[in-house]
Amino acid sequence: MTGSDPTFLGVVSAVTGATLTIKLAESLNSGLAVINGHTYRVGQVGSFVRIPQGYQDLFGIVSEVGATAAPDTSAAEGIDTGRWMKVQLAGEAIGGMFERGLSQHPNINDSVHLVTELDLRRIYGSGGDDQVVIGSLASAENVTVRLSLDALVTRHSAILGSTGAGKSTTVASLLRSIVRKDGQKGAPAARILMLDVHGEYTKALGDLARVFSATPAPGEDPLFVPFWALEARELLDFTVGGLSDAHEIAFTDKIFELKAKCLAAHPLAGLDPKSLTVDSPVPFSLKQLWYELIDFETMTFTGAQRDIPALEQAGDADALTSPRYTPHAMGAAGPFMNNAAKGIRRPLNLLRSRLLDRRYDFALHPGEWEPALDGGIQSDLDKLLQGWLGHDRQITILDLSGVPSSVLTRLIGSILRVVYEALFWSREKSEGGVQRPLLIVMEEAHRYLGPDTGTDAIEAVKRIAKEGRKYGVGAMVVSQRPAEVDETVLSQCGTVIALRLSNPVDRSRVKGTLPDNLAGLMDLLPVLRTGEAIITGEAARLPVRCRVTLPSAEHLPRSSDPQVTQAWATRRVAEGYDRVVASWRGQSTTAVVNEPNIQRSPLADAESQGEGA
Amino acid sequence: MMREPVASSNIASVGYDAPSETLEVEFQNGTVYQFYNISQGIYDQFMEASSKGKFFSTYIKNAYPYSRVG
Repeated sequence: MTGSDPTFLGVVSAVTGATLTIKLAESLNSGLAVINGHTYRVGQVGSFVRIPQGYQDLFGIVSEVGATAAPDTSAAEGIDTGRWMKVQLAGEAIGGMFERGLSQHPNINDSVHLVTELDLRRIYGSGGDDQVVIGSLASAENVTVRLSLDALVTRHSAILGSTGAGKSTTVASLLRSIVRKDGQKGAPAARILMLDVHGEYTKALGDLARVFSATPAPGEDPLFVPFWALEARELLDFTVGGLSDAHEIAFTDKIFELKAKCLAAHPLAGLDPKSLTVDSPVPFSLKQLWYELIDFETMTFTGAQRDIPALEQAGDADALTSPRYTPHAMGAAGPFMNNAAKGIRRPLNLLRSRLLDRRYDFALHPGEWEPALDGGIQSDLDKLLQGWLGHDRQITILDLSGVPSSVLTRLIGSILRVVYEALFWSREKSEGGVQRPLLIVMEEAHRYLGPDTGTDAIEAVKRIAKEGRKYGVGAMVVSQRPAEVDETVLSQCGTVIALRLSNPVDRSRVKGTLPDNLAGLMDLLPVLRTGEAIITGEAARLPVRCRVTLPSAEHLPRSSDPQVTQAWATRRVAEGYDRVVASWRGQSTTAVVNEPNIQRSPLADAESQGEGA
Repeated sequence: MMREPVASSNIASVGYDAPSETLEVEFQNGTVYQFYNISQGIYDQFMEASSKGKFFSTYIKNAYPYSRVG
């Protein structure tokens, strides 16, 4: 069992908890072992070892390698080379089944073996349906690393790494291998919603995805989040800011009144008017809300009973002009002001200015979902959800790159709320999250999940992180600044894919998500190569250092570094900064200065008829 | 309750507590009254009114429950 077996590494010399000290055999001085034609590097930190124990095999991960520092206890003759390594035990295999956790410890002088491709196949199973390939082992490129898709989606995951470490590529590669478009056993019904803050993924996943954008390019759909689908409190927070209790009641009462009126005029399936609440997603007109409230606030009365409105000129709800009343006077003849006014002119003015602010159009004037003054709408929420969740492609990209950062948090919070509520309440139906789970990929999570970025998005994500598993909604948090991502959210991520991270604060946050004996593995984080990741947690059978498969060149995300030398070395071409300004002003990367104004007329050419384009 | 001095021939100072919707008025003769159920809107209008005494007698006096507190 010693010299002849090429997988033999050494013997156990000390056992402390789950940490083993192993003496390395002399046969490995070259640092290489050739087994079945494959070359394995020996004693790499982060590689696996196997310790046979009769029927069982124990598996562990190398965390430290050194020489002559191990205690000089009685060692088997001929193998005391003074070289040792420390191994963290991670799990055991009984027969063909690998399990995390240990039922027994090894003894002193038990032999330790290299883990071959065959053993890894045992660990990762025979590549069952739920296993997706993410890349190959960093130490042995011929061994593929698989993740359990079920655990990856339902137990949530985090992809963390410094800028330029390959996060976007990892995400694109992972999503691509989940969907497996070219593979025979694809996932045609996969449902993935991606919040793309920088607009990087349209190129990478465009062939698998439908793209919705706040600033749509040709071929993309506009992104709308109808305000009336939000909870009343959230909507008020968004439109009028903080309100005192008394003022909030004035608004919610009026919202309820308008929703009830709309429901009476346009009955909605499933909603009994008796069970209507102020939070029910029923269309109503914000303009009408503003008009009715401002009308009541500014009203003055004349007459002996002080009950005849002294209206001079009616306003216009659609154009947001207030009605004009004769100003109240102090005398006994009046007109008198409305005693019952709530004193909400200031929040109403804010609401009006929000309604006029184009930055909020995605929510307050949501295209065909914008209700008329009486609450009538062109399209209902089903069309919106069908667009996001029910189309023929597996991935939906919501391109948020054109959204001003001041409203990004609110927009993301609103999207997550709408999607989660829809899947939560449809959990008994085949469209719901239980029957067809949804994975939500949150790019640049530190921008809207930080402790000081407002509450909308955090509350929604926390809810998904805590209870999403039961309703089939999984989160994938992607961030370059884990220290700025809310701790609750990060701690709920069952799987951590950590790429190169150099900032010590970020690293300690990632380390904190791991059990103590594996924390040593995370010391590798600053020296990982681009595209290399340490994967730990529920989805990975063993913590593993993995090289993520690169997607083909045309499917790389649009986030690669600019080629500085090459760009600076080329000759300067004529530049037009007027189009720079046009793009800036238009908040659109495709803005032009001079409309080309091409006259197109159909050609009646006999030859072109055959092409049928 | 904090009362703000106001310029008026009849009223010396006015205070308002929004959570309990209570208005407190001190008159020039030194007596202090509290008026209840006064909405923020009325209070805002009151503070803006050019003549506090007139506004008070038109809209607040004899229109809201009150009690003398000092």
